[in-house]
Amino acid sequence: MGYLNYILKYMVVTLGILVSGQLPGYSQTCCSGGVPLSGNIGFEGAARGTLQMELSYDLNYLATLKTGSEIYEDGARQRITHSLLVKAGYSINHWFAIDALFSYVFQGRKITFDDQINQVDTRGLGDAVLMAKFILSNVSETGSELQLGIGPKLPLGRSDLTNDFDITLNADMQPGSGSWDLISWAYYARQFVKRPTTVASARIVGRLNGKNREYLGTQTYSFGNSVQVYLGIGDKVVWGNMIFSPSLSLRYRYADGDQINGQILDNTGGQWINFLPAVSWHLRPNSILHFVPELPLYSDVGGTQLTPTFRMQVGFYHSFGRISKNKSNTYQL
Amino acid sequence: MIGFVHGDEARAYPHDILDWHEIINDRVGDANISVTYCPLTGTGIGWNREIDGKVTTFGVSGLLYNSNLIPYDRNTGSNWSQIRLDCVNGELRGKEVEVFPLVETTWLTWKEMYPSTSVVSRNTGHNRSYGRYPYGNYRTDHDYLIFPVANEDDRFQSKERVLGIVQSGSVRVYSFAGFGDKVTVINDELNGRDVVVAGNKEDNFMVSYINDPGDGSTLSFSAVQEQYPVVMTDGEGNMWDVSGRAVAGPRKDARLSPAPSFMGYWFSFAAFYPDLTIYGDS
Repeated sequence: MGYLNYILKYMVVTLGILVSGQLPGYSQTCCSGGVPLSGNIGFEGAARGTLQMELSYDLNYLATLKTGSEIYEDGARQRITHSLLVKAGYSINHWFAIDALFSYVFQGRKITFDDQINQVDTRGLGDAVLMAKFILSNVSETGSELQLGIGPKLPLGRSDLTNDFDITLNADMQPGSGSWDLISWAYYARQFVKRPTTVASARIVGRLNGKNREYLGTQTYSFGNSVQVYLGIGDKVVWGNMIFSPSLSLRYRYADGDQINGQILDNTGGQWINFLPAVSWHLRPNSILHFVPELPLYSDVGGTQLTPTFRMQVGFYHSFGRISKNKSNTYQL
Repeated sequence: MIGFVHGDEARAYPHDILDWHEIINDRVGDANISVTYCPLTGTGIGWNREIDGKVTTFGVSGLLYNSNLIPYDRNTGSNWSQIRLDCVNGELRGKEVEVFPLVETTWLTWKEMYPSTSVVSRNTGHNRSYGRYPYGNYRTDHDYLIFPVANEDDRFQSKERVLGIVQSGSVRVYSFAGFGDKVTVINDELNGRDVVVAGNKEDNFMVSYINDPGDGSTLSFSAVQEQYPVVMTDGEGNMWDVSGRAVAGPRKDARLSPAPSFMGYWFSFAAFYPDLTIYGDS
């Protein structure tokens, strides 16, 4: 292992760039395979002293290879990200609340050529988000709700995991980004006048990403800044003695390309539009089970990337404290 | 593109395909060749994929060392360093690569040299946009390296394409600056071996050979113009083509052994061989 030890510093795993067997090639994986932090932060408003908790499992399955908006038929490459998300929110008073989101990540990437399989797996504590929220209006009082939030993304996850050869893995396979980021968030929901159980909502999440200054030891890496826009409509229906909240949402996400040493990294960034037909089951007034599949409608990626094929999330929500009677029914994915 | 001549057969391997797939395992005549190409270091090297009498194929391991491709052989799973030209990990560790001479040039020049050449088809069985270079401005931006390298040297710009001869641990680099718009021949000596380098900046190629036609003698080469694929002649009146074969003269069909050499971005030679010398430097 002497030689191998010697070269470790300048040896990297780059299955994300172009990996081939005899004649297959693959492109760099995209940042859309990462941990779903910014899309999950933020609870709805709640009464003073209310503690809201949620435990979710998120599956992101990527097997669609695209150049721009063109799909390449290629079944040789898969990427799966499993994320366990723990979210907590506490309403300090009528106007202010704080939310926190923690993650644990399992990532796998499989490349198949002929009968040979190259599998890379990582797991670990992911990054976390803290957010201060300002509740400008509450749906239970005015029929509409407006919240603004801002907070840091904390680099709790490791960004220097290595493979079996003790070689540092690329940024896209690390559970953490190694950078402090700034997340801004805005949420608006409005009840329908003639049918108060029906709520339309919109959410915008912006993410300004910092730099990992110790990427591969000597380089800087920053994921591309991104913005996400959610538009949704949901209702509450009674079936037997059970209450469900079906909802339909669209998610638009735009991400700049990642940067290495200030240079835009090709085959990163892009824009995606997904459709989210979700349903929540109200087990109790303060307990909800939700299921949110996410289906890609359109994407235009930078260069050539493996991009999401299917995504889903299941979760359990529980609140401790006073329950809002007119809680919004559009689940915030 | 990268060209290979074996016997009477010439084959072209377009960068359009190599940029995406990096390795093409091929058989030209009786030569089992792997054309290995690393888009990040710009190095295209022909490897003999017959090792210890067994034919294998090479694949891309997904590893890089000094930003350079690490192929693996499918018979043993051993990892090889493309620029070091040896096996760095696995059952065959320490074994050196036997190289085939390649000619990296433009399609226009290659077509002029070998009009009947075959070309690797884009019908690879894989759906890729072969006309698109997948690394953006990487090959022209001298400040843009995706991965760290062990040694940086600013005597040339990082992405300047040079020819490096790797001869028993000694490395000498030749730049296009020493060549003009006509074929130029350099008779040189490296680590006790006489070598000859032929190139043309305008037509965008450099090749090198051991100056030994097979009988231990040393020839004095000079350039031949406008007779592609012939690029050199010698004091005996032999005409030598770009693949190192005597195509006319008393030594007709003799072959020069290829000097272990390849084209690549300057930074990659500096990273792997910090003690290299540059032809023309005092």
